[in-house]
Amino acid sequence: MIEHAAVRPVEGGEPVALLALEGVTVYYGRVRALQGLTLRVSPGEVVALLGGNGAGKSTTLRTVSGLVRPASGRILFRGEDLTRLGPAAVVRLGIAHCPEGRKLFPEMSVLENLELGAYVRRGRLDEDLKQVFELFPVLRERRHQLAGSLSGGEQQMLAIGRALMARPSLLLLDEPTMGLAPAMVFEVARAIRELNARGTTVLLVEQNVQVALRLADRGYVLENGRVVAEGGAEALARDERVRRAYLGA
Amino acid sequence: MVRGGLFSASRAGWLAALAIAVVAPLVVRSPAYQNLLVVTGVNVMLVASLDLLIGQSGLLSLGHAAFWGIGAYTSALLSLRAGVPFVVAMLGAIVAAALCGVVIGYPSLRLRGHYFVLVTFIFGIIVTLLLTSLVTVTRGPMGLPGIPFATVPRLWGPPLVLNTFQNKAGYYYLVLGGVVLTLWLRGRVVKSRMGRALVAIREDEDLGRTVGIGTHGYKVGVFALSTGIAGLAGSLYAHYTTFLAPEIFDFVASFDLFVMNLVGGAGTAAGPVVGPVLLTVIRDLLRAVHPVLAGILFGMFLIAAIAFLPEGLVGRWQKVLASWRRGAKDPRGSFVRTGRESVAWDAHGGEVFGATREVGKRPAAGQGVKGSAFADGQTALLEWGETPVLAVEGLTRNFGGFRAVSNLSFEVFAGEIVGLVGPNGAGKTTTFNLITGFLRPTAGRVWFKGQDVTGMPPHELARRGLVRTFQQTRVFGRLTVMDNLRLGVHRHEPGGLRRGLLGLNVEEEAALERRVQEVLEFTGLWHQRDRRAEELPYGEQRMLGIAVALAVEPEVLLLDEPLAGMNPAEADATMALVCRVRERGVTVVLIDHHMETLMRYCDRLIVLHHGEKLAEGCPADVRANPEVVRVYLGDEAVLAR
Repeated sequence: MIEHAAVRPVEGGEPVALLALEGVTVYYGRVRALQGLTLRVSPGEVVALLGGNGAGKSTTLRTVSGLVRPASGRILFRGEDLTRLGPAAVVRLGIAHCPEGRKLFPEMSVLENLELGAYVRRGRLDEDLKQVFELFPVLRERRHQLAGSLSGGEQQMLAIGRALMARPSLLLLDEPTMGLAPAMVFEVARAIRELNARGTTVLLVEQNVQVALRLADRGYVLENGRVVAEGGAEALARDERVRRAYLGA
Repeated sequence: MVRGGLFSASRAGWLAALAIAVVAPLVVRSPAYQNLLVVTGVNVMLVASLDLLIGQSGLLSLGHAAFWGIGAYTSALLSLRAGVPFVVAMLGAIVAAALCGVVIGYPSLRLRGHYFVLVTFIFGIIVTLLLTSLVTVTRGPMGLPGIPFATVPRLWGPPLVLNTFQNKAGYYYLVLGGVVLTLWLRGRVVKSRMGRALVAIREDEDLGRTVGIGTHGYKVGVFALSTGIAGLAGSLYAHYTTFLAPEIFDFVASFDLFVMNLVGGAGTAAGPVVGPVLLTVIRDLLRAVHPVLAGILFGMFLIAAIAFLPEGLVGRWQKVLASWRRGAKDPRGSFVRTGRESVAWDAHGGEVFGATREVGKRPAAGQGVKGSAFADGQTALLEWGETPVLAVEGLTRNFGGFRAVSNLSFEVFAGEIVGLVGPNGAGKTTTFNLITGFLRPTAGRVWFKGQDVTGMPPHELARRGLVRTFQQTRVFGRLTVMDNLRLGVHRHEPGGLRRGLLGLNVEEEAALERRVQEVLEFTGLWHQRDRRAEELPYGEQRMLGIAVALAVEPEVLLLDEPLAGMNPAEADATMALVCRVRERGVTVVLIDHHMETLMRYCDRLIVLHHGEKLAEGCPADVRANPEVVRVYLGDEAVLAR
């Protein structure tokens, strides 16, 4: 749905990563949440961040979107350094963050929530609304309802839809299926796959590892703020260590 | 018990402060400064009593000066009009102020949020208006002059000892007595069972109710105590100045007390002394320069305090000391205790998850579980005991026109693990709220251990053994893990306020500490006992939520999404703990969406849809039910590539 950003070639013809984190370290007070984290996301990919609670997955997303300032390291978006940019500037560059817990404006209608998602852009929204409603037909039915009155799954769809209204080339999704009924999990997963097929690159944090690895092309396993394993989704799903640590019996 | 450790622990500090206070009037002999000492003493009493509300219980009162005024006027009028002796007038002042506290507090403390602040604020204004307009009684704006000096009956001592307090230094010692009494009382309350209940109210009132604390009673009680002390301070003030006017006790005075509390450090042991001493002196110095300037600067103190020192002077000092002692130790932990990255993988599989996974292990017969018969390890219990431990019957709840729970009936038998599942918005959490007394059913009944407990308040149900946890991680975040558990054992604590005041609760405290340790070891949190709950990694916070509920010693435990945000391996570890809880004879009902996990650990599943029961039975049957697949489980095929 969103036109691809021009991918600038470098010497040798290999495309510049859409997003690259280079040795990013983040502190919360004294606690080191990320310890020299390095990862890259290529255009068009779905990349999953796996790991236990407190491994630094959400912190990674929050750092990319400018909510948290790294103590050291660089964050490059299409080769541009956005390490020192604030959240609003990051959104304008084309990175939308869909935070954990959905964080909607519950007293506003579905439509108003979506319109706010396009706050950083000027111009008409009809086309974008149409795209979001194609992705989530239930939102069209409920567009005049208050966001707070939606069910959990619908709220998650609205949160993703709102993020898409900014026409991001990179979507950061934090726990999109948390607390959702199984049927809703599949519904949200289907939408993520579809929006990716339409051209949005996705960096995904997801505790439901089965779902995450079926959606993703590649994954990184984080532990104590570091990458301890990485690879293709299928390879990770087969990996005995990943199975034992995150998939359970 | 909670904060102020450094200051309350250092008894020497208190003694030194007392020594300084005793010597002070001998050093500063100027009447102006001795006057300042008396005023400071009264302010310490007022702020220390206010801190019982703001700092200890999280109840913001903006009308504290009104109770001070009620005490002052009651005492003065009793002396002037009825001619009663000072001691009787003083007791009258305490009773009058505390009574007003109960009358105001009883209804307003039922309300949540900002209502209590508003009520106290408006009450303060009304009191000032009444004192001004009831001219026949109070002489209104003309003020009330000629109040007799305090005189106490001579009970002991040589005739040389003064029993009237006409000179400032003498009166100062009377006030100092009041200060010492106030601080002693406050210290005892804070350390008692009541103090713990108040902390629970401050940190999370609903959570407090689930561990069996009757929060409303405690709130009214502490309000009466606080206003009673303010009344005493009023009496001491009236018989010192011998002149009262309504504007002394107006909103500005309440506000000043609030500022003193905040600047000193609300909830700290020494804050209610440091704040008023510092600010009373500073304000006096400023007034000497310019009276209007004093007001402006006082307001700026508040702004500065909120902006830069939200924890107050004493609070900040403690923080600095604590971080200095802790050094650069990294307090980071992990749900799975790995520590060293090099062995992280092995630690995951081997130590934690591998060791604790006991899939489907059921309690042996005669282990406190009635009438359970097992077919084999994999299928559900087939025969039930004759009496369900928990039952709901025709349970219905409307929200406006929306029926969240509709004519729901089910039974839970002793020793079961029952999963309550269904789409988002199906009414699962509402059902928990109805069972545990957080909501009243529109219709229907709840039975617990054969008794009708419909509409019973949460703390009463917790005392009877029906305990719940909450969907979001809900622990007393600013308290240590140990202190969280201490609140959990609240209902088992026999030592009431009286025993706490008399210091009779030493043995009981020791027994409680043993129970706390037992639960922490059981849940694997013992190594984190001194960490603040909010510093724990997410998984351990969730575990702590369960540990607090276990400390209440439930017979039936209701867990609301205990596995939310966990990956399957963590979910397994948590359910293994639930199984061990069940082996101790606790019946468990849980809401969650981790169907794969629930399938393996639950004896029975109950599926809700639109507030009604859609299906019920052993996991395999429920899973195969086409209706359940349609509305809840969905079709995994959409994920196929």
